[in-house]
Amino acid sequence: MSLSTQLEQLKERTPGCRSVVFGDLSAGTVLRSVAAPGVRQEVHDRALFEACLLLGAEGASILAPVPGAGLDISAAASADGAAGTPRSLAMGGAPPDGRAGHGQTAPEEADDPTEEPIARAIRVDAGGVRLMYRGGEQGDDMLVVTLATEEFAVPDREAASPAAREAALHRIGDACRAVLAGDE
Amino acid sequence: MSERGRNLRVGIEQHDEAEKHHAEIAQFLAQLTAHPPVRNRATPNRQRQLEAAPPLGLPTALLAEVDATVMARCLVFFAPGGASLHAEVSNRRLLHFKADLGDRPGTRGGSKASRDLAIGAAPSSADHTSPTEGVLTSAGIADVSRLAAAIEDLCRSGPLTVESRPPTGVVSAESAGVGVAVLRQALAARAPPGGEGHAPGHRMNDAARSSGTIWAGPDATELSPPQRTHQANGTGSEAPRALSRFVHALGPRARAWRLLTGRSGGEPVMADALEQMLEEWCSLGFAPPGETHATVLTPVASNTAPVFFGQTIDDVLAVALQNGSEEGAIALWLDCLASPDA
Repeated sequence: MSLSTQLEQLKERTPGCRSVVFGDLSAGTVLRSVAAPGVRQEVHDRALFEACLLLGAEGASILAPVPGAGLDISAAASADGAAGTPRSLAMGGAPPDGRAGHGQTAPEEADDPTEEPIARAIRVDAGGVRLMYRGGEQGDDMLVVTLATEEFAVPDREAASPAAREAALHRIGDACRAVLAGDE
Repeated sequence: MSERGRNLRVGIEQHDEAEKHHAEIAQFLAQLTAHPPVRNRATPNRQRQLEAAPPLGLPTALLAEVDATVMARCLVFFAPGGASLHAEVSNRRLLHFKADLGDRPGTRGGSKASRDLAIGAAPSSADHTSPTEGVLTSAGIADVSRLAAAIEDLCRSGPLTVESRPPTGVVSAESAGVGVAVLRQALAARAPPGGEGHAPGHRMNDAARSSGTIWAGPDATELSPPQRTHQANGTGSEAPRALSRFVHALGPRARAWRLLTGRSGGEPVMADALEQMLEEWCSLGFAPPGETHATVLTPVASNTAPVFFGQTIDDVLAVALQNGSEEGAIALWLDCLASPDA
């Protein structure tokens, strides 16, 4: 199944979905996208730009360890990382075997061992709900799903309880991870 | 007066009346067909002068010209002193950009500074000097940042004029270019403190400008609580209640929390760490004033806590969450927003 088909299916199976954008973190580039009618290219660009900031160096600097705190919120991550993203790549450094990876990012990011790479961000604002995931073989693929808030957080409280919304977010997250992992 | 004289006078009066009527019609037509006085002030040689427009002044006017151009055109912007900017534009998107900033004292040796940026150019092995290096199909953050810097430099030179020319054909039809919205955000992030068109207090700090962050929010850490309440349009008492209710609803999902106004709870050392994260969050411009939003960041490392940032109209909240509770926190946030008076 092609990536475009996967994105199309993800959009069709996600209630309230406005757009699905697949892009590259290191280049900040939209590679594939599907969207509801009327969604302009600029909206895709902005969604990807936002994801680049939150999942890239800026987001990482926010969760940088606090010297002396000594808690797991600032602890060094395991060498292997998690969520399918090798830590060395997510940090922008070279892969363990020393090859110069495609996923290399800015040198200052790579040289700073204190920054905590971000695997996922979810943002809710006037523009809707945006789920941003990072993954892929090099850890530089990004998937941004934009949901219309009015459809996702419908006033019908019986139908949209917090538990129902949480379950919906989990389902969308699983689908995003599957796309980034290349599962069909 | 003779009959002939009376007829002559009546004829003259009728003629004058007709002349006056014609003059009124001509004046009315002239008003209808005149160019708008602000943006289309005509100058010799087919150039129009751009007027500074809020919120960013001349850069906004420059971007408005790009946004108004649907057909393929080469827009040439001229500044006093010889600086110019050639922008290949099509379908409201900037495809190619060449800035000739002239002899500027700030440049190396006072030499001529020229920046030629092909945005989203098709792969080209011939031009290895292009920042895109034939890799990008759309503008990356670095490209946008360089573009914003060049536009800023040009607009600093003084009043601009613009001339619309036929496209030069240097851009491939495969080029994607960059939309005005992204450029506008990049420029907003670069706006200097107290710069042209910016409201007092609405600025980015140095860290945010250097990082090219897109949001141009205030440095909230420098605002006192009364200022924040003033920004909240007089409804500041609602927000802390909503945030408190949200924290209460989180229950055991929250390990520690902290408000920008100083209140905190949960594990003490972690709450102290959240204070620093909250300051970083605000200083990077992720917390624009007066906007309600929530963001949760999940680190790669599984032994590192996810952090939730929530903002209502007059306060900002940071919460260290239990692992795996991000979706629940967002769902509760939406629930709190849907029932503000609960």
